[in-house]
Amino acid sequence: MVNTKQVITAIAIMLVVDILGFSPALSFATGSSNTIAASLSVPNTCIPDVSNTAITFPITQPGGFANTANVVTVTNFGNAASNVLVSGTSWVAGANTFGVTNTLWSATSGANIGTQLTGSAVDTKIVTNSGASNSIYFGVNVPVSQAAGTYSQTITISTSC
Amino acid sequence: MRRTKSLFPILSLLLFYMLFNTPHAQLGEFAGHIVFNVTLGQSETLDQWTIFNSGNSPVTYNVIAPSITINKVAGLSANNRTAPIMIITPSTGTLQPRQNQVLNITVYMPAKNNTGGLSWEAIPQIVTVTNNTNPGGAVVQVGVAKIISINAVNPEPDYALYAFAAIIIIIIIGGALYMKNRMPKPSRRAARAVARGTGRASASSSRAGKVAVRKKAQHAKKATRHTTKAASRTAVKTTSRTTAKKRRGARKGSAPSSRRRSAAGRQNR
Repeated sequence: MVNTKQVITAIAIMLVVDILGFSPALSFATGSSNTIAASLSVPNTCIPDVSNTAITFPITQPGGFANTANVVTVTNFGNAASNVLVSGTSWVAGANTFGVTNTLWSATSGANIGTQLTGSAVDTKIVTNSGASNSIYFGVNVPVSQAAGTYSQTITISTSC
Repeated sequence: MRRTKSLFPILSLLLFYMLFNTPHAQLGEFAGHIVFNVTLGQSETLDQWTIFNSGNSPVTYNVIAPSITINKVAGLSANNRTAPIMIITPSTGTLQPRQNQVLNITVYMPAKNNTGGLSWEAIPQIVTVTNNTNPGGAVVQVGVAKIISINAVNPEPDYALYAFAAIIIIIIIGGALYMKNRMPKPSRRAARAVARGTGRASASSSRAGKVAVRKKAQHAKKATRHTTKAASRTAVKTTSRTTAKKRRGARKGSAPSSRRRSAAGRQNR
């Protein structure tokens, strides 16, 4: 049987040898480790999503208007706050057209009240925070004596951060 | 009843699978304001706009070119300015799920009608391309946009050009001085002719030249007069000295003549 004194002496010798660096095997035995520095850069982002990809306005006679009550909800799935911008194209029905500015947008639902849509992007000043949603309401003024037809346009909603 | 209970976990898993594997594409962008400081007549390219697809299906995107509007700058008129030109590449493409795309934006600043200190704003958009149609209504497309500021900067002075011009001027001046030193000096005769007032026509034709010639002639006359007076004075002095000597000789007897004679006799010997 190995007594306690011998065990302690053996451990002491191993430690001294290890400290002096004579034996790599002992270094392994004491559990030395390698460190790898890892870095990760997470940028601020904004990821927009809209509730619906189409707005169907009610039938509107020439000179009449569809109220600014047709809603699109914008959600920001990014981690940074973003501004909502809007733009659009002219209304087209075959050869008949009328201007993009006949479409109105507003941050609030209401009657025929709002800001004219334009061909270039305009900052609505509506701020959508990370994970939050905001609504934009659209309406249309149909020009007097506008030819009958089924008109369509494209509205672009984008976010900037 | 037991069968329904045993199907419940399977149905739950199926529901989760459908929920997380429904194809959806979501276009996103990295945050950050982009500012261009472009020298007049030059262009600048920045690659600071990164877009990405955060969905699990490919997304095809399209760039909508911006209309560039001038900002009102204090002290500078915004009328009749030439707007910068912006080009974004690639203007279209497809992003795979979890893929990033860095867009290059190049802005050219026309020098015509523009000056340093003017600024413009441009908002390009990138939208997801869809084939949706909606007769009798509006198609809504979603995208990302970037508000970009463009500042016009005056070009910096070209110091190398200035140094080159200075060297050329120094060479010209040095050459002129060297040639002047190498030119033959006017002859004495020509100088005298000028002094007499009969010099070159160019020298005496102008009023200043005529005055100079007249002064020189007067100076020469004065000099001649002085010389004549001095000569007459010298002559008078010499005469008076000779007379004085003769008188002294006459007073002392014939000593000077005897001396002369003895000197002549010494020479003859």
